[in-house]
Amino acid sequence: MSTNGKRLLLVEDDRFLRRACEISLCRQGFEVSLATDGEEALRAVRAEPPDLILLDILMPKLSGIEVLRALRADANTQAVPVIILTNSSKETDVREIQALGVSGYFVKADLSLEELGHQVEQLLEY
Amino acid sequence: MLRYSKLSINQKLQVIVMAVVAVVLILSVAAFAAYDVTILRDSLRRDLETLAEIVAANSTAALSFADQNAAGELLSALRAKRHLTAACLYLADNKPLASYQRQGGSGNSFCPQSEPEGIRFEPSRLILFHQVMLGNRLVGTLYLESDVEEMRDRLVKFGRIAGVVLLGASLTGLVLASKLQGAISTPIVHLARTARRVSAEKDYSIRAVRRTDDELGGLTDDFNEMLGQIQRQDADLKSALQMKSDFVSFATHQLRTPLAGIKWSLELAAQDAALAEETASFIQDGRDSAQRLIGMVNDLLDISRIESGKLKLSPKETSLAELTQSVLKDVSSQIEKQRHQVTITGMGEIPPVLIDPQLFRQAILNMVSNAIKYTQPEGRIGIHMSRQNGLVRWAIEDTGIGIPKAEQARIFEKFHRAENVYKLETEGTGLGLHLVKMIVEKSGGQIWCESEEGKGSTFQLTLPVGRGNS
Repeated sequence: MSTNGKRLLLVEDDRFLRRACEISLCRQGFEVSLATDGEEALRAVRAEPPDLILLDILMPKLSGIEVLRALRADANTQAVPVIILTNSSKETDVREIQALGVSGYFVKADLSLEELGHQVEQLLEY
Repeated sequence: MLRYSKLSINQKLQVIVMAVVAVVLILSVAAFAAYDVTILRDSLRRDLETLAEIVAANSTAALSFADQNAAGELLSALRAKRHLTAACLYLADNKPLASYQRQGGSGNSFCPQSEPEGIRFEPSRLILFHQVMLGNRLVGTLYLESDVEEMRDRLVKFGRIAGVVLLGASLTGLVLASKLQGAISTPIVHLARTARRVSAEKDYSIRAVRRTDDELGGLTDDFNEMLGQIQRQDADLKSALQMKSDFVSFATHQLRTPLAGIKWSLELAAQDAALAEETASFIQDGRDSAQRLIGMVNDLLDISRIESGKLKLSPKETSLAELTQSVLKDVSSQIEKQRHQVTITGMGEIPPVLIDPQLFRQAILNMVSNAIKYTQPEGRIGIHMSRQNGLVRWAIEDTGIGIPKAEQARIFEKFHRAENVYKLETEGTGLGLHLVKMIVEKSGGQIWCESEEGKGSTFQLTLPVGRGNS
């Protein structure tokens, strides 16, 4: 099954990371929409749930954890898979994120775009 | 027997009070007894002398006529004197004329040799010789012997009185001491309990209650003041540690975000197939540099988390051989670039070990990277694994620049870099080996190095064999 046309929502407040990530995922054939903060992300998901959300943690307005909590509490968005892309490593956050249920957790600085593409692909194939 | 130093303050105070009471009483009873005995001796002596004079006065006739019967009668009248045990009358030529003994018996044979006038105490008797004169003429000598029962009775009575008084005084002293000692012991015991609570609960907000205005009250104030200082310093220390920890997580995030931006942007740039070879190499250099910076930030973060105790290990049964191979795969491009020859031995010999694989991977990566970095091109790197007495041994040996003898002890210190590393390259923070040591020790292992400058280094570590494999 091809990943072409799969819709991803990339939630990232840093514009350089957002741009690099968007371009890389587009080159790999995904359809990428963007959100720059937590509120925007929630609005976008509620309007049209994507196939996968790539979610940052430390963001203005609503943090990634708050977004994740809201998504998991809503029956319409409960099942949308989420991959966390963060640069913070607060142990307490990690524990709560695991408890809420995510499909992946990566430190951005330790991840290459190529590897991210593989992960997304694998996740959407099954 | 209980040793004095092990007694509580209460018991010590009681012992002191009782000892003082006993000593004072014994000394005063002894003084009284000595005084009384002296008086008694004087009176005994006087009584015997008076008796001697009376007997002597009555015996002049009997002596003058050497009248044995009259002398005998005179002496037997002494029976009325209860303490008088014996008496003798001697003629002027010192021959005994008559004698008397309280416990009966006859004959003068017991009479001692006559002596000049005198009176003296012997161990259990008082003896007296008295010259009997008629006018100026010596007509004989009188000998009197008295027991000292009276004195002994008196001493025994004193002993009994002393015993009763001592007992009474001791009981009174005990009661008084246990009531009054509280003034001294209660504040001390309270201070000791407070100090114990503070150190056991690590609660520096506890204070001792001041009860008196004496030195102990002052001690309590000083103790509380010291606690206050400790409390303030403890709070400062905790907030400094919190600040450090907050700063590290803030800085990590702040540094990692632009680093990830550089890394990803360069990754995208490198995907362009039409790049000039030189431009591509610049981009690769940029990517390597970004990767190095990311590595440093990660090392700093790991060290800070291990130091603050925030890092929770998740130990799993892990194959060191597989971990090593996976690390070697990651650094294969660097090995190729340096044209090093890498050999691994003993991979099949070692059982799994109980370590946090992700964290331990970092330790192995740091050691392998060091061996690659600090060995001139076309060097040899050997990794050896073996099992020894319940330990798994892992060693990496290189033919690199080595570590000067003087530096070997400090090589695992934070921020320390051996002097000679600058000959080969200036990259590095002095964090790598420090982190390795922390990780190995946190995993229950040990690490050390052997090296000769110019010839190479060997880093060896041992780990306990995982559960169920020993």
